[in-house]
Amino acid sequence: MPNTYVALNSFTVTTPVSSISFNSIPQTYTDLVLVAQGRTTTAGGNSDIIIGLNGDYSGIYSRLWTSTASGSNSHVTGYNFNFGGMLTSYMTGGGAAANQFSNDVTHIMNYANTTTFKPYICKNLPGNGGTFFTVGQYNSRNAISSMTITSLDSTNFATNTTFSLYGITAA
Amino acid sequence: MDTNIKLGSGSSISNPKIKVKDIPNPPTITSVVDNGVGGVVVNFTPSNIGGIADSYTVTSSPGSITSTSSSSPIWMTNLNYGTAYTFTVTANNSTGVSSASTASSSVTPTFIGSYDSIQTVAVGAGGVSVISFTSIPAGYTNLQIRAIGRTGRSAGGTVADDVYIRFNSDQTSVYTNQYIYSNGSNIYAIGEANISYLYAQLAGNALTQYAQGIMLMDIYDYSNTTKFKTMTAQCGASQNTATMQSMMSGGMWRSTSAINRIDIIPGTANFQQYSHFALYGIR
Repeated sequence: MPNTYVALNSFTVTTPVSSISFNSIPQTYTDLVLVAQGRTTTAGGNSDIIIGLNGDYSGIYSRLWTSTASGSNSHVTGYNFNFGGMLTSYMTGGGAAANQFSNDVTHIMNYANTTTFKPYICKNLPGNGGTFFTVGQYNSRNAISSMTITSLDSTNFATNTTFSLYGITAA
Repeated sequence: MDTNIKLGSGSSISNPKIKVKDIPNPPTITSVVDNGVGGVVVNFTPSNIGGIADSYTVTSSPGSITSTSSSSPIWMTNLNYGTAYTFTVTANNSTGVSSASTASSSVTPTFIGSYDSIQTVAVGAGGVSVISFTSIPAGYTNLQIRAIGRTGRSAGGTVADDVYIRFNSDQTSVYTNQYIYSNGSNIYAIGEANISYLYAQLAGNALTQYAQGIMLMDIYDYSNTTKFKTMTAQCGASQNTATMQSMMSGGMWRSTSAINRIDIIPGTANFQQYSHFALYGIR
């Protein structure tokens, strides 16, 4: 059986940039996995990460999130719907220690089919000690051919932030 | 400066504009990425001076293997695993071919071979009452199930439905499961011992049309015969209304038998058409 977990592309930020795009995503895989390790230049705490699929920022994204707060036993949950972009995770901001980067892994299932909407899962360690779990959906039947990643607060991705996109094929 | 071109009939054209098609300038390679299956992805940016390119060609060294595309990135295949390569790219149009770009940094294609597709079930019209992965081969370290789907549950307006997982057709009460789930307003934590299955979750049939639940399940050290078997799952159902649900589940099958069969059973009625379950082996 062939290996079916393939690196499609990867970016490492060398000078701060406001967005990262994966274009011309091949339609020959079953699932996509986006792995990020990064921080933004926001002056405060964390930045929400938002992804535009196929350049689509209309209000057809939804998600439910569950989080544990840093350094406490508290946990919180909430949701967004009719949202103009795919909210996945929190990324460490510029107020964190210099070497502190968040990580998150986002799975988008059956991204190339044109029959169903596109659900996704994201597991995220924002970098401040909390954890973050998201289940969401791109409520569109369009196949996903591109993704543009930005921060909701419009700050830049800092140097050494990395984004890697993988494709998985079901036999 | 004004220019007149006189034509043979005595008329003329004032200030003519002449378009000169030029050979493109070479692009700049920004990164090269090993894709883990013997290929390399070459990212580049076109030059913004010189002629406009119609296509770009990447050439490997050694081997002079080429691949051409109309834009970045270009996917290089047919490379040898373990050989260090550099790449150059040229820009092409009908006038000619640019000089080669500066060579990329060196990259050595690898073959990870660690993640294999074992079996996939796509549910057709009419649905199915159980998803069974049988004759699961030994030889991997962990298993992973990636699924989208919805069950027949339509009562109560609840968007999610439980799915039950059994190993080796074992229906005895030797499973232990703990999970937390959320509806976006409250979080609940539940632990259950001595039950006859493990829990995960997909969507019910009250979800909006075309929406799907999602499940990512890992089963660890499944062919070991000295340990009980553990699994974790992240799953849930989202839609473009305020009604959603998510679950994080962890469980144990208190058996030292190697897992050679997995059954996934919907909490209500059948798995619906377009549900899709894929089993992978991870080394």
